[in-house]
Amino acid sequence: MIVVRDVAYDYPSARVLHAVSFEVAQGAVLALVGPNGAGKTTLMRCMAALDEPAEGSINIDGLDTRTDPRAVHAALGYLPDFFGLYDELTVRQSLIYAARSRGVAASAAEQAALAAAGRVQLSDRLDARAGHLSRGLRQRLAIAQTIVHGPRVLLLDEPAAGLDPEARRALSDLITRLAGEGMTIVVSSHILAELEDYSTRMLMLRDGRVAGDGVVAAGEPDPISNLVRIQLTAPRADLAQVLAGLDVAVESSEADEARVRVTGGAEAEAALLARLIGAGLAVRAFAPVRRTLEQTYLDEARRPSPEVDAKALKGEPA
Amino acid sequence: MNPEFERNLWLEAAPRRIFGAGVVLVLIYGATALVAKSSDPHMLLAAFGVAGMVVFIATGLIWAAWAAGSSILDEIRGRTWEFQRLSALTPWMMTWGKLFGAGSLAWLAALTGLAAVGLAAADLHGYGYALQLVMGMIALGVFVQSCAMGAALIGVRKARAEGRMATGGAVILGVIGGLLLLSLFSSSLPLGAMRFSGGASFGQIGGPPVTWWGQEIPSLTFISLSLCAFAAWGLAGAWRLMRMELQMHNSPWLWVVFLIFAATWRAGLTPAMGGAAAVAMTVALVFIAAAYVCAFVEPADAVKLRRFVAALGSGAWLHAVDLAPAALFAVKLASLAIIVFCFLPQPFGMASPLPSDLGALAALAFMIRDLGVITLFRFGPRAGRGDLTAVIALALLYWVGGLVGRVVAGDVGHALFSPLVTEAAGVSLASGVVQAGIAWGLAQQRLRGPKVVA
Repeated sequence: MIVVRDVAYDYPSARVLHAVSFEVAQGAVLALVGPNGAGKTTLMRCMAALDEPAEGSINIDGLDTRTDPRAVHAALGYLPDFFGLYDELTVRQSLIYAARSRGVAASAAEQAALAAAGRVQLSDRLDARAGHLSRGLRQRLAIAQTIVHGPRVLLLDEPAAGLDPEARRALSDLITRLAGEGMTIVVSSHILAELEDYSTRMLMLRDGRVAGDGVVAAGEPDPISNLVRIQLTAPRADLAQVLAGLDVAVESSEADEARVRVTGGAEAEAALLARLIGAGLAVRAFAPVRRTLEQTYLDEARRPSPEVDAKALKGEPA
Repeated sequence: MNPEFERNLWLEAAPRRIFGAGVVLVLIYGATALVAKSSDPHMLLAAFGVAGMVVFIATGLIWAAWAAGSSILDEIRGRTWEFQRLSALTPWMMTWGKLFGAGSLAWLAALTGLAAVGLAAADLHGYGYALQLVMGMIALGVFVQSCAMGAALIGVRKARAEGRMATGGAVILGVIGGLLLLSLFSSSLPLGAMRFSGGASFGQIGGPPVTWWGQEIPSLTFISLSLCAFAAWGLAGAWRLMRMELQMHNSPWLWVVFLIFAATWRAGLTPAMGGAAAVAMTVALVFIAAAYVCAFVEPADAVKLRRFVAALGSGAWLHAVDLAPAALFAVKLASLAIIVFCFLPQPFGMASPLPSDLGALAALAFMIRDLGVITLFRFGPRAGRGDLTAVIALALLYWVGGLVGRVVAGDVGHALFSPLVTEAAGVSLASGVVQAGIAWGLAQQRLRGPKVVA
């Protein structure tokens, strides 16, 4: 759905994206993360065909951003980090204009506007002026404008910035729903915990380069550590000994909780659970430890950057 | 309906605003009737005509032009421009939707002025005259509005390249530039027509006929038709700039056609006694002026320029043509016109104001030097100040350099810094070529790409 190949972007005095390549499958929610100045917004603008890369190509839903930018514009929705609204227009007028200006037929625009308002819970504010809405409601209206024409790809740059927890939860639910409907979504954010709720993939940028292994799975069991977390209903002082007696590789253990290594996948995990119960342990929770986005991010962040490597090879200070 | 036009109508032509504008117009025309104090319908109509002209200038020219420019700049300030750039509207829909939507209320008010002027002119000079006058005024309004919108779009592109926010100064410059262009172009028109281009008074139009390419044309007819043509070019320019903002690629051929049109239009007004050489020099001057304007107006986009050089280097000619700076086409056409000028005989039996062949070539060399100087400063580390710095540098080179040269070595010294010293045109040519080489050598350093760590 999204194919980025060797994209480089230059500002007059500096290259800010270096040979960035990755792919995102349809229906995936990609968390685009990285420190400030990593090039996330520039990459998003290139993907939205608002800026043209100096090198490389970007393909959105089969459309090349360089040769067919207007078709790309029509195929996607993009919400920049600093967006504006037409404060003098009502929510209804804003959404009708957004629908019409994005190619929805005049006869269908009102219906599309109502549907978009419903998706972001703005149906009760249709006649309110955009300028009179709170920060959270403005954000919802901006998102509604972005999705009113039913784009196949959605790019959201820091969509949760400035939102209260309730609004963030609503945003998270909306993104999950949209992804469930087959929309491919790229979300850039600094709030990793929030991305955790709905992201299926993660891509980290650092110094304008793809960090680590490129697009990695987010929120899935950690394939490297194979850790499983066991919780008991009541503390057992001999928990470590019981587990050792069952020939389990214990990573850490406390009175009511332990982390153990299990190789062999889901079947081995099921067998271990049966053995634990058979050994008289009152198991309250038994779950593979998932590699959180934050862990993934920190793991990638701890790796030395290619630029630092290059300087080290030349004997220059990093 | 065009959604962009409709949105602007929602904002601009709200009933409350229409009512307010209506009240102001009633007051203006009512006051006119009171001041006229005449029962003679002809006098009353003439008074309304004058008031109508004032209303038209205030609304159809100033207000509408400001609204057209603001239709872009307000989007930038309100951070809605990216949303617009992502719309599915065609560049033409976006252009006319903004142009006439944002100025809708201004045009409603201007129409009352046009009606008053038209009725008064018809009463004085007949319907044919009134029709031409109104047509010319509408075209002038469209031209000024297009210039304002085009200037705003240029301002946005320049600001983006220089990493700053676009301001309303661009709109003012665009309107002034557009009127200056008309003023320059009409400087050889008969007196009555010149007054029209300055918007002095509708009652004074109708001087001697204009001789254009040997044809005598009634001055009002010529002016009105010319304004219609320039309005069409203004719209075309705004549309092309809008295309670029919407990330579409423009081929340069329309720009080349405009340059040829402008040169042809202006050269048609050259006095016949100057002969073909005078025509060639006029054409060259139009192209040279266009090259200077382009050099300042185009965004200082070093990345695009590097891609142009790379395309040239790789032999991708068509791609290179698309990426070429607009000034380059004007320079090429100017060079061609000056070469033609050099082959044409000078007018015989009169003190010719035309330069010698060497003088014309020197002017070309100095223009290329100046473009190098402009590039050097506009592509410098402080791009935001590049325009002003380049102007100061050129002023220093021409005025201070010329003065020092004259004091030190008379005409020859002066000729080192000016192509207009007829006594030492050869020195000017040699100096211009050397300076152009130095300027472009320095400018080339500024255009180098960033260091890329592998």
